[in-house]
Amino acid sequence: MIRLLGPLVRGVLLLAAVLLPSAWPAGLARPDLVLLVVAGVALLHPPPVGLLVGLAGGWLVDVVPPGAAPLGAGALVYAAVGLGLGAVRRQLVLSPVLPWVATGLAAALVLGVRGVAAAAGVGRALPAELAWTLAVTMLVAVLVLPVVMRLERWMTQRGWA
Amino acid sequence: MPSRTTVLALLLVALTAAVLVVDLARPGLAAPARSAVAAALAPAQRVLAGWDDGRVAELTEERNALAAEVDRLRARARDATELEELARSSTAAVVDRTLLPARVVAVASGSTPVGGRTVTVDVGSEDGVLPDQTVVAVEGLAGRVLRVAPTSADVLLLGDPQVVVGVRFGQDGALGDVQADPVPGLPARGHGQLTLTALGDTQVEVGDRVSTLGSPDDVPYAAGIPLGTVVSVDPDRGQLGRTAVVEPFVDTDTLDLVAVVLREDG
Repeated sequence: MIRLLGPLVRGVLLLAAVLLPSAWPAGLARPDLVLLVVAGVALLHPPPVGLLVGLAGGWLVDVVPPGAAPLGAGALVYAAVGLGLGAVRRQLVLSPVLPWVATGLAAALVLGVRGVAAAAGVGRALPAELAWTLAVTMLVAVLVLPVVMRLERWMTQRGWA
Repeated sequence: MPSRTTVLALLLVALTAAVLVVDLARPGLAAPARSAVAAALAPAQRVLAGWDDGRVAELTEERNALAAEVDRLRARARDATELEELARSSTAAVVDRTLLPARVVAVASGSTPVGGRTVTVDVGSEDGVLPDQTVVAVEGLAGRVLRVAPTSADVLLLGDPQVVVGVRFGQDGALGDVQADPVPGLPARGHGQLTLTALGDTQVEVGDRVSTLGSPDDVPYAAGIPLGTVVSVDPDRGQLGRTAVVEPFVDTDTLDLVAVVLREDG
């Protein structure tokens, strides 16, 4: 039973990450909070866990209004991010800056997919917007990533996850 | 032997890929699921978006509704004179419209694989909103309703690649269309700028006002709503119609209070 608490807390974190941008001031670039939660969990667990959390976060991004089309595309991209960060987590313990750098690369990858899709004629993305989103995400990551990782470590120690 | 988590993860990824393919093939199938999620989360989004002063919101709402009403009356007065001149009826702008004030409660994520411009507003089918209705802000056209849930609706904004608006521009009301995607080979557009393509060989001039052409029954765009001004005309590089850059009146990045144009029957 107690092992269900971890996934539950992660679910609540992801839901908050999807809903909180509503309270963000209009006109400012929004940080990708979902990616930060996915990264915070994926960096501490084997790849399948990161993949599952990424999948759940991506699904929330896709279906929570206004949502995104096509359904499932966001889920697969965030799942890939969770899988990738989970796979390289052991190489990132050398320095406390490395998880932040890896998260930045993951955010750049997610935005890169959007940019490439737009260049291929699917959807629309302006380079300046992508750059701003990346910058704000990296900035917010300085605060949010350590908090999520500390919570995740605490839950692991208590056997919640 | 792979662990249970791995098996579950692989299963769910396969399922997601299947949903993606089905959604690409039949985009409407997921509508009930989207509507259910929207209904469940609408109160939370409303609370999160409305943390500022309620009185200011109320007054701004009122001001927006009044300003839009002035736009509508001006358009009707202009229509009336044109109608007298023509002495025959036009297809649009003879129906009465009402404006339903609404507030933006959520904005699409900036990191999804397919970039679009959608927002969620806090009115839905219970308030009489239907898909494809026009959405305006105080400055002019904002977009159209894409999906409707009981208490919220998703709005496709100007600047989304799916939005193409039939317009009139200039003194004589020449016809054309406005969309976000620039024609290949033309100068790059600035942030938020749109492309006007004139129908036929009409001259486009800098400073021309662009407003919606309108369609029968006001779906998807009502007639005579101001959209923007022409800020520069593209050089002739073999494109079919003349093209120009339009700066929209509405800044979709800072959109807060809007109104849905409802048709008044009878």
